[in-house]
Amino acid sequence: MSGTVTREAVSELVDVCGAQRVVVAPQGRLIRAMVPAPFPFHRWADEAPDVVVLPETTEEVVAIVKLANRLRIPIVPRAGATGLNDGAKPMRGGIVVDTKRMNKVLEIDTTDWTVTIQPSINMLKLNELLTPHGVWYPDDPASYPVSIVSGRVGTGGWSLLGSRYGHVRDNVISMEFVLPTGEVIEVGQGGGRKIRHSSTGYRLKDLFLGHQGTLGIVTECTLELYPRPEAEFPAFFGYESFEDGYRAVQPFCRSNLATLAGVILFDERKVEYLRRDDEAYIPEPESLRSIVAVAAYGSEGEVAAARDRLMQIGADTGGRYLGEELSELDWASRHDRYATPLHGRSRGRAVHMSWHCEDAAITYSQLPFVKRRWHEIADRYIAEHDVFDNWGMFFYTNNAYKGWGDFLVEIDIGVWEQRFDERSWQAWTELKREIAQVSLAAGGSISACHGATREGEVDLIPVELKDGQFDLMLKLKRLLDPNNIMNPGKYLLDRAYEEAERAGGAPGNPEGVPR
Amino acid sequence: MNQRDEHGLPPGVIDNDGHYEVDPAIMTVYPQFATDFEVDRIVKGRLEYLYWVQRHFAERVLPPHAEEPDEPRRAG
Repeated sequence: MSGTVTREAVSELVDVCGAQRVVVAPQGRLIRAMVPAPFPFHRWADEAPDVVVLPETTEEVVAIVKLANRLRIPIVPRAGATGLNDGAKPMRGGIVVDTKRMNKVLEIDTTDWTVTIQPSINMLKLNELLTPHGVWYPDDPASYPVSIVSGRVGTGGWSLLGSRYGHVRDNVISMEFVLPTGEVIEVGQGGGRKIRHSSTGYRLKDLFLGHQGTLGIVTECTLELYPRPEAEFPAFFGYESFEDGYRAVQPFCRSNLATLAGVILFDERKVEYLRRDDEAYIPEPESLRSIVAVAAYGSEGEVAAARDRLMQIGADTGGRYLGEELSELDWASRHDRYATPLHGRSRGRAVHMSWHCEDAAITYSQLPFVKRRWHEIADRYIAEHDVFDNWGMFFYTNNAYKGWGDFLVEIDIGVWEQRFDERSWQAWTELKREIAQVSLAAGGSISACHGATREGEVDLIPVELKDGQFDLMLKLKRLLDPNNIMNPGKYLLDRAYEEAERAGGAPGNPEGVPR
Repeated sequence: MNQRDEHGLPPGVIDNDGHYEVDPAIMTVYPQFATDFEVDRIVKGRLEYLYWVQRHFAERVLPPHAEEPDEPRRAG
């Protein structure tokens, strides 16, 4: 037991949740030190929380948060822990609030088309419960079979079907939220739990989407429902150069098809990796150097019409349709990264590596520049360190409800985590920083999807959020979390308190209790 | 069990830059082999999984070209 989590504090947590839902055993704590983002295994023991609690109700969450606030104990909300960022990873020990048991469906409203849930339900499971009602919730991350709604709220999640159905911030209508001081608030578009658009007051909902666990814990969500799609149509087209594929993307994006769910461009290195090792591997012609994949969802008549237009665009842009089997199965494999081990190459050996993707939001015009620079950076680090492998890049439509505009850009890096030592870990964070610098130089955002709290890129947050944005973040954090208990150390938000202490004291911590 | 070499390592363990690994020299290499039944089971299992997940999204997948009116539906 370390830090401020005393036996008395654990005893109080047991009074709140019962002994069965308070975990102090090392294995239960160590596993909750990790997320799928590359992890410094050589520091594992330093990263573990002191205690884990598994609440089941809002009242229990309130009691836990009030206790942590009173004793100034760090507290980290944790959902599915499938994120490629480190939002769910404690940095200062303390209490991990694992919300997985808060997974009940509270109301399926088939009149106003909403579903209200305790937020730690998995989307696949939620859709199984919604199917008999003819409706669904369309949030579709790569982690669809394993991630849960509350984590999607914490990261402000991005969806693979976003160009058709929007992303998480578009489909969460309202939330119940426990603030770091233990107050419970309801946030939505304005008033009204089921109101989709309001012009009353500030739009506070967005503040609590993508906060990475730094502003509180979501305890209830009301979500948008859609009619279940009658049909889908995926198609993969091959091109003989990256440039050909890049040029073909625009006509697909601007096809004026409301059913278009996404357009994805794979570069030469990604095609090479698909041929080599990926679970989605299907033999492809050697002359093929890039792929453009598209998918449409909706009523059968609309998707059939979209299918005809997409096939025509593929032919007009010189694309080679790669067949029904490849198109259907490779599209269906989009969730596989969370379910299959992956192979990397290190000095000619095949080794087990973890998948990690660095992401950014980049406009179409800047994609070739970013692609060239990111590969140069990755290849330079691979030449110097034997723990990385370059698995190629892809570019995915990023705009909600429309296919044009900017793109989610990812470079997939194989990481041999078990070989990490301090030298290679520092190399990893420097690699990430260089990649983020290129994104900013291209006028983009450090992250479109995963979040940007990790070592390396986090230093550039004040650079991206310049002209007062980051300063406003600091003020909001300090206002809502006066004692810096909620996921401290993330997003450089400690600066809010350091500046106050330099100015002559910490008003949020009048008793001087050590943090 | 208590035998150690001059580096203090038990038999069959090598020190690879501070990472301890089983010495490949003592491994027996078996050819990768799977019966038709095993291949069929693995492939079928994967396809069933993909199909099951995909049916959370849409009732059916359209083929690349319009179907003839009497052609049976492929999925759904």
